[in-house]
Amino acid sequence: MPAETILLWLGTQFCGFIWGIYFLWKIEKSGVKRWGSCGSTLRLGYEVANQRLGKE
Amino acid sequence: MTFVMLLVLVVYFALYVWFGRAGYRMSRTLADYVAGSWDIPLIILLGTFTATWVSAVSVIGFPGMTYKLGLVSLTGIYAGYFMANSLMPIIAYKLRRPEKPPATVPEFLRLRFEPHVSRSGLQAIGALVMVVGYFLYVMLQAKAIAILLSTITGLPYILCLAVVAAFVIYVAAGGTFSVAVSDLYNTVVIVLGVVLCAAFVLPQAGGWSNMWSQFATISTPPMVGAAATKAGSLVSFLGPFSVSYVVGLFISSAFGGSVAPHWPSRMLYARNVKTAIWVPLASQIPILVIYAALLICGVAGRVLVPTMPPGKDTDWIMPLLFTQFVPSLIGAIGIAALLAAAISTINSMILHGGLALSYDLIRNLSPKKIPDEKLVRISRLLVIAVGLVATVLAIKPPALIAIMSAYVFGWWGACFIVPLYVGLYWKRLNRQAVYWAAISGPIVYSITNWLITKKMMSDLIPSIIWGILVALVGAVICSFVFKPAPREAWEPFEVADVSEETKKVWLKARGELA
Repeated sequence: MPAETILLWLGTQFCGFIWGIYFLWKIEKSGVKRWGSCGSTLRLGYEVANQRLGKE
Repeated sequence: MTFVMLLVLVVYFALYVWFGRAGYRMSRTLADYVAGSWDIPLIILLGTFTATWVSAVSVIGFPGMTYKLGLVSLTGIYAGYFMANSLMPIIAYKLRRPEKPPATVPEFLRLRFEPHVSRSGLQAIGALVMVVGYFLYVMLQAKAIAILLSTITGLPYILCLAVVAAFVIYVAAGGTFSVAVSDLYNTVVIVLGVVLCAAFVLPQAGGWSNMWSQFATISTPPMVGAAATKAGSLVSFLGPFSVSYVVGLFISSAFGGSVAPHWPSRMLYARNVKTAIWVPLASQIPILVIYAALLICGVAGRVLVPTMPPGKDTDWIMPLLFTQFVPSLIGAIGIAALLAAAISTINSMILHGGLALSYDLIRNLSPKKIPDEKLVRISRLLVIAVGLVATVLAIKPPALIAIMSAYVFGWWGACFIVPLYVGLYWKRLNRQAVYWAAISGPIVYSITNWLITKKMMSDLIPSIIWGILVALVGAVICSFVFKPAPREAWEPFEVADVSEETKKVWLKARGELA
């Protein structure tokens, strides 16, 4: 399989991770728990939802 | 139809209904029914996002296109759609911020641009664009899958259509949870079906390296009576298309595809902003697995069957592989995967179409407040009605419908790009700007598309780009000519703690405050 095809394919599928992770970091920095801020950029931060559902 | 296939299809449909029923139990309120109470966790959203993304068009059309045109199916056509997923976090980052976000995309238009009106024209326009688009799309998908099922199983076309419609309508009428949970199951079936098929055909095509070297040298015609393929063209980057055409298609698929209303809706259902951002990103992994398997099927298919049998189009390559090149059990699972891909897209579109009618048109325009329980009942009935009418028309779709269906994604792109991309990041964008964009975008797109098709206009710039440009330029002018959007319109998409005044305006706009 030609390398340029593989590069374009993977590039279009995964370039979103660059700004996606930047946005997750911005959410983390905002400190807003309802938005998912939980102390780790990559964790989903379900604390507020879990409290609402009575899981914690 | 063999016993094995019958058994697999019965098990598939039984489990589909079982998962769909779970959603019925989870929907108790209007918010549950319309938006999953904005509390759906990542794993379920990932399932419904992936299953809706992978439609029958993907599972049949992508290997068929690879078989016929080669790798340009990936580089020229589908790369734009993959890019659409990569762009979606830009929308998700702002869209899911409000504590109680809009329940639908048309309601987003109302709350973001005209929260002070008692009946929203923008919400109604957004709903109409969605209803027409989904109606056309459901009809054609239902028709395609019923023809395929009928040919494979030997059962009458009408019976296949009725069976598919009955199951799909049942699950769609269960609401957002029903569709989301059953779609998670559909994703598993799709992955299983296409990966197993690829695993069986790859060795038959001589393994990875052999398959590619044979594919590069094929020079037979793809179909009986078609022109012979030029040796080497199947692995070329652009295939038969020009650079400008491919770039234009890429931009329009990427931006237009990312605002088709069922994608922002899934971001709204998310449990929080981080989940909304993760949904399109994480879905790239199952989508990569599915498309890698489909690519292998298309390439191996061409190596194994250099020219399709007489009377068969290249879109028949997957059914051919399922029925003649893999063991009967794997073939049956493959057919179930095809059904899962079609059904998961149709059920979602029927639901969105029905909700646009009940929530965004009837609830929005009704002079009296409709109680929530009554609106859930109305929504169920309208979802069933959309499904039934689309099914009846799918028996013999009028020619005009087939022509109009080609415009659906262009309309959505031209209508929703400005409000979503610009509206979420530019506070000044006002209601006049969005009225202009939502009306002029689809009209300009339709006219330029017609002119390009009739060769009365150059195809250097695709019609959707014209639609977006006219919508965008007009929207910017309107935003400076008229008063900027009020604070209550944009505040919940910007800050976590909104003012009491904004809270009151939003509650009133959603009919939750007398």
